[in-house]
Amino acid sequence: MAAAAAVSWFLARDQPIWVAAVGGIAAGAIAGLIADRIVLWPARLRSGGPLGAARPSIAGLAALAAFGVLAPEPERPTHVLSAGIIRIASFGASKLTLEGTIVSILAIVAVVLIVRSTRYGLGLRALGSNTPAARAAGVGVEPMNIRTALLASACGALAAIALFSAPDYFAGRSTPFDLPLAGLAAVALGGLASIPGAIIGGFVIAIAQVFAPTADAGDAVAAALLLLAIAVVPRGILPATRLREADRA
Amino acid sequence: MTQHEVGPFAELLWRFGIVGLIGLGVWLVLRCGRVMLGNAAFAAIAAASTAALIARGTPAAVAILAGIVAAAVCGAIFGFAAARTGAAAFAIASLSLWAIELSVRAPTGDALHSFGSPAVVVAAAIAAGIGAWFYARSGSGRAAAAVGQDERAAQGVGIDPIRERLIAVTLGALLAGVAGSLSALYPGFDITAYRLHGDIAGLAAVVFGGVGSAFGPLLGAVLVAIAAVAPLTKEHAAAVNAVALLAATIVLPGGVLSIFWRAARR
Repeated sequence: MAAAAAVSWFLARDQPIWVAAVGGIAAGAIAGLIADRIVLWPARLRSGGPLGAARPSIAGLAALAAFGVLAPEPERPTHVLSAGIIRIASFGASKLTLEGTIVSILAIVAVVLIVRSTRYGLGLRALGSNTPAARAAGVGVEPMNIRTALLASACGALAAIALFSAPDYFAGRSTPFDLPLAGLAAVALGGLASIPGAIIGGFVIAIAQVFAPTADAGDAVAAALLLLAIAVVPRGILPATRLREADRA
Repeated sequence: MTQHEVGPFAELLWRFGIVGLIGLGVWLVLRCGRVMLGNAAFAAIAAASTAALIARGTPAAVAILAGIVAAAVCGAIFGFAAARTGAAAFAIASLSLWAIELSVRAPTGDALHSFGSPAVVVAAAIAAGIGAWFYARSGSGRAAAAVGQDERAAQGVGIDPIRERLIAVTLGALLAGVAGSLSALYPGFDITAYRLHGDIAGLAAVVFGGVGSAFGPLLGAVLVAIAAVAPLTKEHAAAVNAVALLAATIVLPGGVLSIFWRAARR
């Protein structure tokens, strides 16, 4: 929502679309970082007590609800977003939608490389597998959380901008609530610890939403797939290789 | 639920009863060490079933019972699917129930409201609170608490965690079903009020009131109901609930009830 608002703000001031997109991603990343520091960090610090480890989940949901209720939906400058229709055979798509798709694919590749091939990615995976062991090995937990909040929020911002440019996506949707649901369904379906799995899960959910007769039906399908995935394949279609090896051992 | 068709005191009682019942359902699951983020979906199922049956001429008592059974059956199905998952996966799975909240529809009309009484809802909430208090002291209730505190240790003494979670989720759905069925008779009934805000109100009641006792959610429901009848718009009342839930989660982990207990111990 912050990213979409920033894009709308830049476009209303006649800025080029790429400036608006970069500004939107930066705004989304900063908003995510602020949410992490104000909401999730204090909740993580107090992870004992009767609420236990559930505290960050509850705090995150409460923040989502407050934000969803209070944040105004940004206006879509449709004349800018739908300019330049490209036709291939009988299919037509706006130039911006195609550019958004290409940038999204590049972003997925970049995230895969960051998580798989950098020291940050190694630390992130260690933290996810065993937090006390990672901390003992010298991984800084809070710096890692800050970087992860920035990266994850930037990805979310990019997704929001891509959707912002898609015609009629927001019609009839409770955006703050059904977008996280679709994202979680994609991850749960594909595999909680697998990037290729998450990408495949994302495609499955996207296909289900595109071919559903209404937005509500698409969201219902996404939710049903989420529940089915957790019940039938709790580690997703493509569980991470190391998890499979651990299972065999 | 609009605030225009009943007086503020009756509105307060309706809100207390409905939120208290949903909150008690969340509390039962929380005792098993799992967070239910979509309990209001079962209330929405019960409300839609009850409203549809009454609109077709079914006697109110039968419609209410059918709504409660529908919610409990859906809860059991969800519990069967999710009870064996870990804490994070369970919370994510419970989010899938939002789809029900977003898509369920129900008829409204004067035929429904002639049966509604806030006294019945309040009585149901208090009876449920007393029932939950006794359940927490029963063998099954203690087993559920043991699972919530240390699942492996509970398994070591012969407790089946999956069974206990299934019971808790089904009972939680049943209580939400009571709330939903009775809310269908509420003069300002609007099923879209359950869309996430029902979950937030239920969670806020539990966290704000206190997780330590069955009466915590009821105390929290009083506070949530007071916020709901304050002269605020529907959106601002929902935001107040969300912010209160956020604040209580971070600064008041034992809820308001823990303040009383601490004072009593001194």
